[in-house]
Amino acid sequence: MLSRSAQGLYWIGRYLKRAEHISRLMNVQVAALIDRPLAHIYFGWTRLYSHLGTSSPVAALRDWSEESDGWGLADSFTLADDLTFTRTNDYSICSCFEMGRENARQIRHCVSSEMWICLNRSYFRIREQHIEDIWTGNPQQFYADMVQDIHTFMGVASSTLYRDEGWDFLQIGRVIEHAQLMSALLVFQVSESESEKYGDLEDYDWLSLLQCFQADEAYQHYYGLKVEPDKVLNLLVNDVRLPNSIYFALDQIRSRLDELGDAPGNRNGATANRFAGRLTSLIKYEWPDAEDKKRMLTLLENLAFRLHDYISSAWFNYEIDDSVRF
Amino acid sequence: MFEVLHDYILVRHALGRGRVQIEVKDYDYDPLFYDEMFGSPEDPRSHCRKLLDEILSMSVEELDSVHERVTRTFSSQSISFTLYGEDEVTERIIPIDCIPRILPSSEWDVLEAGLKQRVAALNSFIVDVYSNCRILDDGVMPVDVVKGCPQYRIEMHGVQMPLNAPVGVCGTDMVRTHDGFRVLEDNLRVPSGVSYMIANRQATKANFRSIYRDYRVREVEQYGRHLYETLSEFNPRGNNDPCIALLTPGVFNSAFYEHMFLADEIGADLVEGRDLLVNDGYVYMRTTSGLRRVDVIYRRIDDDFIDPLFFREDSILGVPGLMHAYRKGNVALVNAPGTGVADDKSIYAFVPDMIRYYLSEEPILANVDTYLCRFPKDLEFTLDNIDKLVVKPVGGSGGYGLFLGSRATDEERNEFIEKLRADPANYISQPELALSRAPCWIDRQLEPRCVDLRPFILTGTSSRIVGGAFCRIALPKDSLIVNSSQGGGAKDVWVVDF
Repeated sequence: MLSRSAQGLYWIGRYLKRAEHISRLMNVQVAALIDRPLAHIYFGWTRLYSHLGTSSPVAALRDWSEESDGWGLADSFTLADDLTFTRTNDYSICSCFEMGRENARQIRHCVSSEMWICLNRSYFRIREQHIEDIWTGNPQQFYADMVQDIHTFMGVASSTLYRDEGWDFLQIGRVIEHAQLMSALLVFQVSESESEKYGDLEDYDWLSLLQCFQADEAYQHYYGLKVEPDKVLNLLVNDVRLPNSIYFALDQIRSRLDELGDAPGNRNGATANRFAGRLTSLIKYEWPDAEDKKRMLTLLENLAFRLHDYISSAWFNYEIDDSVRF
Repeated sequence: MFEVLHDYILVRHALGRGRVQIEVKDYDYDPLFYDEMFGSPEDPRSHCRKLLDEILSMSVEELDSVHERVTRTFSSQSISFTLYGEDEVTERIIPIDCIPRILPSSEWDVLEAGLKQRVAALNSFIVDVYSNCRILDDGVMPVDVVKGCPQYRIEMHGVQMPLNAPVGVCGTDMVRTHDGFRVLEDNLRVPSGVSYMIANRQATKANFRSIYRDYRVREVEQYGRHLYETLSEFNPRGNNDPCIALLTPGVFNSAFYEHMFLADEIGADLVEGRDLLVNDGYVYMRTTSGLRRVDVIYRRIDDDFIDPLFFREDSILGVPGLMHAYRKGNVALVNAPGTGVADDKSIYAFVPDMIRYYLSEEPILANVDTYLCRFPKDLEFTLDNIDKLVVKPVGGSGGYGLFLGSRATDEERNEFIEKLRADPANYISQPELALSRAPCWIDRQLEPRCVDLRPFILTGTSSRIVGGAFCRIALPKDSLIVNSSQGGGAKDVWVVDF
């Protein structure tokens, strides 16, 4: 497969996962707007912007204090618009769909027609809407629909996409994005949860985190109703049975890289495979005993970013020498 | 259920509950134009009767819903082209008209023979002007018209062209007047539109299922197979499994949809310049398994940009060294660089002479009368009759730079005359033609609109043409400009045995 096509599929996977991730968090956040105290809402917005590494368009969010009245629910409208429809914000759901579709458009012949039609419909649906259209109705349903659209797309891909390397790169892109966003989110969570600036969060921070990843049901099933940060972290980081755990994602990358075998950028290919293996081992064998979870999560976040570079130089932008000609 | 009146003078009558019968009494038939469906307002052409019956058996709502379904097929698949405005780039869905244009096979067969003849002569001409220049030595064409043509590539002189077929893919624009079909221009560089021909067919036949079957319409869907076979014939390695790549300038090109579509149809990789590299005179593409040798490149990128070492050095779209590999015969380029010399508008005027010269045959298809403003006599004629003529820049395409004398204001006319006098060699003029019109479904009624026809001719070791064409429509009322970039639409063409 053409390297650029493989790279296109990889980025489709990444952008759609990012859209799904933000939609999930937005779903929980707009639910919080109904009945949560301002402090919880503020925490939710800060968590969203911080872990995405982007800045909020509302200055008051940056300078907030619980006593000030410079910030309120009205700003949530602006923030929701920014993260949903603003096309100048690379992290808005609409932009993620647009970039995912643009990648698909460039390699249209490498995705099935049904995938293209599915993605195209979702893209036009979101592009033709505005924040006003969803805000007065049921914004939660809108975000749930976005997640559903992406599930549908992946389901169509699963049913129709030819199982060559393209399929592997689509999946690798999806899970590497998940691993990066999830570790960034957890770094923020362990750093900021104890901060006094949010007041008493009453476990909302951890409970809402579980809800973002549909992990609240699994948590209650295995750990009961009491929300304990260590247990939440263990579930989201190294539970082998939770499809949204970081371990689950990294293990998928490792096994897909194994399936892909040697890459043309040979040295880097082997490095990427070994590197993914080291990452999964780190979680499996070192995480349970690690005392400084924040340090571990920061390390994971950095390593996940490096994994992207290794994959890119192994398959997409490898150096040319005689050994790679056939 | 519905009453169909076979004298074709229909009276609007309500079909209860607001359903309204389609009628043709308001159809704006104009005897000045050849009408593709009606010989006269009362008399549809015999090969169109069945289609007209089908349309008239529908209510306005039904045909509207057919129209909407056809349009939706295009938008859901984003069958589009890119339009470059001054400030922004838009992805435009080509407006498709749901009513097909029908051509009887008796007419089509003449067109097909004429097109094959024309392309054979054009190929001979291109090979000749880049080798022995016999046609110039024999005085059939003036040397300065050929060698002064901006599309003449001196770099191609002496280059061996595989199969002596520099034009592997040709899209010829034809128009019809009361005098019959005429060739308006040959597109020999990177002709586009074939994907819309196939997409139009798929959308239209799905909505006229029963009469499509009755009509026994010739298929266009095998175009991809013909294209693959044609490209394979150029394979320099001569093996059965050539590696074919379609070279696109990228997603910002106006015909990018077509590039994707065709790559898919022929099972080729859609590559950009950055995916290819040349090493030791061979071309390779960068794949996830390493470098793979490329045998045939169906290039959809202009000569200027194909190789920065050979043509424009500032090109970032092309592949450095590609022409070196081509000259060594290690890769085939379809179409060959330099073919533009034969579709220049001033060369066009000589195509009938080429046919007589190379093939010793009389041209089957006529040209439109053409005046080369580079000749003082023709310039004088053009200036004297400018209000009746269409003046075109010789190297232009896409309808850009075209001057329609009859529709210009005095000020525009004077301004254009100055331009024309300043650089007469850059222009040709032709009489303004009354292009044939075909009924289209516009604003819930049948409206005539001007149409043209672009069949595609494939040439490798032999010539192949599918029975169908890309038909463009000038959508604005009374417009003569059918180019997609200027607001044109498209409709399906059915070649039927009749």
